[in-house]
Amino acid sequence: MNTDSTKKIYDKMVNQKFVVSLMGNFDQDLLLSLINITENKLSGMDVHDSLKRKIFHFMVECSQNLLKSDKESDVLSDNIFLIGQEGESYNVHLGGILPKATVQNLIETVEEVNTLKRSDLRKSYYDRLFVTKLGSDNLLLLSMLSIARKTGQNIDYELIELDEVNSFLSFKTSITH
Amino acid sequence: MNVLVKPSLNVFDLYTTMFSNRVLLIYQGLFDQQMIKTVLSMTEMKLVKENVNENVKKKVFNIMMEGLQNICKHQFLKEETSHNPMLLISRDDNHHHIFTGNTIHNSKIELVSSKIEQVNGLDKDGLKELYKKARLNSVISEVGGAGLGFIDMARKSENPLEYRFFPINENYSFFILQVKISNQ
Repeated sequence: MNTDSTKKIYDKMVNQKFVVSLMGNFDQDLLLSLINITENKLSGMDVHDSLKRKIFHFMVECSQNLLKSDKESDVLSDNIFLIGQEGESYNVHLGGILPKATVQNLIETVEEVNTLKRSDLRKSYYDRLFVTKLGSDNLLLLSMLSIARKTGQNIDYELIELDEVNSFLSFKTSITH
Repeated sequence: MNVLVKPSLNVFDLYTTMFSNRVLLIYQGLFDQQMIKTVLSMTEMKLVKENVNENVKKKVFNIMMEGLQNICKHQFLKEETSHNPMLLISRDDNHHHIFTGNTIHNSKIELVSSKIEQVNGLDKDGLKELYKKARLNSVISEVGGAGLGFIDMARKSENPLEYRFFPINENYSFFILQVKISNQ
């Protein structure tokens, strides 16, 4: 890398209005650091506390999902975390490379959650709480339900197939007051 | 359905760009002391995971601190420009690279360039002498201490500093400094 290529990466982030951009191998400790950074950033931007709480919640839940999926695969890849500003909303992205089998599971869970009406989310959430002992699939669904409840938005995702084994998956949610 | 069947031009593009350039960490935004602490902590964890040699780790860490303190001192806090400061760390087979970026008023370009060129023109002993003088000057006046950071980074990295100014408008440019640390 040199100064020119650095500037290109920087310009990409700025042009796409990413106000926080982090890439690295996230683990629980790093996740806490990430939350600190976001908190600092959002404090500087005079963001309402309820909005901050939503963003943190999304970060924590998605990161735990990605981390758990990483552990199940032989390959530990870097994750990318971005916050972009769009008018009064913030778009929060968290993504990484995962094995296809894992990705499929995550997507099915997200799609199931997104079909639920807002009024059904709460019931589903508490119903699932009672069956979490059955296995990790329910924990995943629980996590997604939690995100949807707290943010009040659908969980979008971007899926790019890389090769026969792996895909790039990133979660995205828009968070407003 | 929420599947984006076309490749995303945003997140994935940024991801692959950073991945292909072996970027370990990148942050852009305003810096304060808490932010510095957090970023340093993240870097330390990253370097431990990468099994980086202890000596190299120490150099990366110390030079980062120097660079971050400089950013804090010189970053613009008002909305004079849309260019927030930046920190990026990458590695290749031979070096770790620390890049810092911040906006600079064009009137300061000549001074900054001359200080870096002066530092790059010196050997180890020359840098040591210059450092002593600069430290003495920094005790006498803040202006006299300018450039102490560059000297310190050059001494610790044992490599010439690389830099570039990217024009933003008629008054400001974006200054990127690159410090190389050998992996041996």
